[in-house]
Amino acid sequence: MRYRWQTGATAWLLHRLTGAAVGIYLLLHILGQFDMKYGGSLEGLRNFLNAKGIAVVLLAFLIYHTLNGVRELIVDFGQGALYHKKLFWVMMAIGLAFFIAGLIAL
Amino acid sequence: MTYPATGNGGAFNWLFQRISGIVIAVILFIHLGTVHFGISIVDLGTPAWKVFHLVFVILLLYHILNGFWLFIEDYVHTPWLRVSLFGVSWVVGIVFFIMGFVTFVPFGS
Repeated sequence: MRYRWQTGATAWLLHRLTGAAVGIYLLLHILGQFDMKYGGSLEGLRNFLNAKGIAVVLLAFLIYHTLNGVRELIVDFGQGALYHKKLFWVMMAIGLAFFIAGLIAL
Repeated sequence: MTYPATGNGGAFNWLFQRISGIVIAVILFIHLGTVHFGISIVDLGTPAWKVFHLVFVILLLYHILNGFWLFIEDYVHTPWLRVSLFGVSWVVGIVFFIMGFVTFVPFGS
């Protein structure tokens, strides 16, 4: 398989990578909360998931995945195909604002 | 060439990935604001919040596992492995649903 580094293909690839990472994180989050109630032996897992560095990466990935998802919706259901590259950067600008707000709230 | 376990070609999955994604985005925003960022403190033991998290977990597991299924569709072409991973994703979905359910539904009791 070959990837072409144009805006759309790169956005698609990042959507996959952030989706996989966030998906695994959230499964571990469910496991960690389950263990907190019924066992308590996975303290290390919870500490890892709650670490500041991990939280910052998760926040960035979540914001990217959500906003690129919105962009995909506009491309699929609206007229986004006509301006999807410009839309990508608009979403990234919105994402940056959310990211900064999230960092302050963390 | 057709590969096993592709069902109806994924039209429903394609649409529901978008619908679940929209709902998850809204729920996640509320989940982060209340449970994690503490912007508004709420009692997670009330029925409404249990339903909220029940819907959250169901849609999230669907969205995650359907996403993983897209990886399998694109990168795994060995028939028996595709079928096996399809089965694994169902097991993961059921196990994690049960774990989520017993974690937040008995809250406050």
